[in-house]
Amino acid sequence: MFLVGSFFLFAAFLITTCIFVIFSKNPVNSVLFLVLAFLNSTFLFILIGAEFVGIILAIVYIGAVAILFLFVVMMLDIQITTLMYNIKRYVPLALLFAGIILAEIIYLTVFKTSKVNIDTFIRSKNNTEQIGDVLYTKYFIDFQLSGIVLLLAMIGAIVLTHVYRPTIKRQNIDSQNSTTAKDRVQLVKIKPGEGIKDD
Amino acid sequence: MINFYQFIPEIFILALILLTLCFGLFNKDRSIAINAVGFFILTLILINFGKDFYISTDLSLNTINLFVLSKIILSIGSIVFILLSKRPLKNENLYRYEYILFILFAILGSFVLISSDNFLTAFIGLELQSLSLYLMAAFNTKNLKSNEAGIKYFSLGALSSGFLLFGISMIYYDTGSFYMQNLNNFTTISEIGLSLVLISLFFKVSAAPFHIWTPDVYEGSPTISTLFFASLPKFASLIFLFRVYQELNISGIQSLNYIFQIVCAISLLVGVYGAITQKVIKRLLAFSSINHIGFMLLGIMSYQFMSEGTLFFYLIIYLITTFGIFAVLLNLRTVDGEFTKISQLNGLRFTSNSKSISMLVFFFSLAGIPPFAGFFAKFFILSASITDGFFFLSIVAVLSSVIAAFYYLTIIKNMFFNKSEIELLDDNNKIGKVIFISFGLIITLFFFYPDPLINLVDNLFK
Repeated sequence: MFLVGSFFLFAAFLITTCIFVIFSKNPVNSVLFLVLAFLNSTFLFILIGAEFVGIILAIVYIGAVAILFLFVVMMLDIQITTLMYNIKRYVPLALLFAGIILAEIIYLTVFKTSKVNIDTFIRSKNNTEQIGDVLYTKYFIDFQLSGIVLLLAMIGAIVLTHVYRPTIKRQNIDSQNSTTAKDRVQLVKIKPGEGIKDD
Repeated sequence: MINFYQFIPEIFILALILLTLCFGLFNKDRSIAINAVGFFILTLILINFGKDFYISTDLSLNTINLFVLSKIILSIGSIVFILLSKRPLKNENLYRYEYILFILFAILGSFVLISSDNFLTAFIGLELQSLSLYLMAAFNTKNLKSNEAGIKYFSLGALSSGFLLFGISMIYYDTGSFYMQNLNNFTTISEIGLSLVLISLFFKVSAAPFHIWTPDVYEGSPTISTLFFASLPKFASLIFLFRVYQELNISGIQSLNYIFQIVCAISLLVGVYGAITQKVIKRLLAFSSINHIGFMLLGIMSYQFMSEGTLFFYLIIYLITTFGIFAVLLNLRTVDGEFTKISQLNGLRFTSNSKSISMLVFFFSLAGIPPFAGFFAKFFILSASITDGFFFLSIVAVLSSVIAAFYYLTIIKNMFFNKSEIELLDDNNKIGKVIFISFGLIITLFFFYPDPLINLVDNLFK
């Protein structure tokens, strides 16, 4: 009873915050509501016993993605009125897609039972252990390939943003290390009463 | 326990990536030579030991041959592409060794995609491939059009990846497995999921209702990247589409079969009608490639009564012709920079004989005019599809190639009989010249010595 009650509580919160994400006038408010929506879906994941996925969602989406998003939104100067003007044009299309997906979900939940046996998953071990069991054995190749995708993303981000400007003065460590005292310092013997002659 | 023996080609490319990544920091010019040699070694390994890698797996001999042949073609194609890419990049002031890395990543993704037996690995391979394609489209960061092409490609590609993931999750919900061989008795949910997967794959190969990105991306990105989009990744995605069609036995499922046929017909027609009004050569080639994708889908559908060789033969000829056309285009420059318009090709004969004759050979081959290899490619596909009973699609295909001949021939006429409007500079790129002349010879001499190419395709499927 407690589980069912809390599920409906968090689900209702989730839907409400999602609506606020779309209809807030201020983009900063939208992003903050998005954070709240992520938090609520974290709770939903934890409720069904997928605590690893839930915590990862909290760390990655709230900790990194949403905060970056917030920075971007704060830095950009977006005209709110133009955004709202465009929304009306797409409402019928959005309703069509939403209707299709809603019909699919209803069809899946009412008429079909999945072959994935969730009960055996949940009862035997906890979620973190289960993921740890298959991540390095059954899905080893996929795991390593995801690492390669991340390497590519890193290289790509550097290539697209790095601009080489020859005018910028940089530290040249080689030439710094290879200089000797003779290049930099001149020893002069000064005779008393004469001073240094300018060559 | 995972059998690592079957991943040797992928591991080889990964080693090449890491080598280039470290070595490129110190010596930027050598990375092209290193990778060309690396892919040459990979080709030799695949030709000699390719089949041994997969012997311990429980794949059928036909599938193993498919893997090995397509990997050989991909690595030969990468040798040609890497050698070709140096000069155009230097001309545009774009030469950085990261570009070679992107090629390697895309080829690695294609290899993974081709030999993946489950949808999860296929998804990661497809992502690896398309992520590097987005980067190659936006590689010219100082050019606004290139940036626009990159962003357009990226946002639309992300949308199609979303479709792919949604479809895969529906298949997983229904069957409890990612593996293709576990998918044998379909329910409605699997069919919907599979159709979403197919939509995403159609997007990647730019088949017709999902082709909107193609002309813009082709036009905006640097020409050398356009060559890459049109050739090797598209080849890999088509092979995967072929495997999905074959292993999941889509011809037995009525609804998905209709999707295939509709997409094929629309591709054939859109590719032709879109191309007629184009003035920019890269947009024209984009629409022409959409038309050819229609032919390839027809080849995929009608595999039952012919060998896989039909499709493979068409793909090889298409790759050779695309490489040839782009090698000619990359060798030409106007005074202002890269040349873009079709009308600038006018009077090419007076500038350079070898280029205009090669262009004539390639365009005749694309149009399917008899002595050239393109005719035989189209002929094999059409005869297979007629044997298989796709009469309506075959008629559409023939009509579309008649209309296509109109704009190919217009270009050739302008090239040979019109006065040139603008002075074309010869880039004098030796490697490019060798490539387009030898590819032109392959296309022409196929009529007289068909044995090598036919045997190559036939032996590997026996």
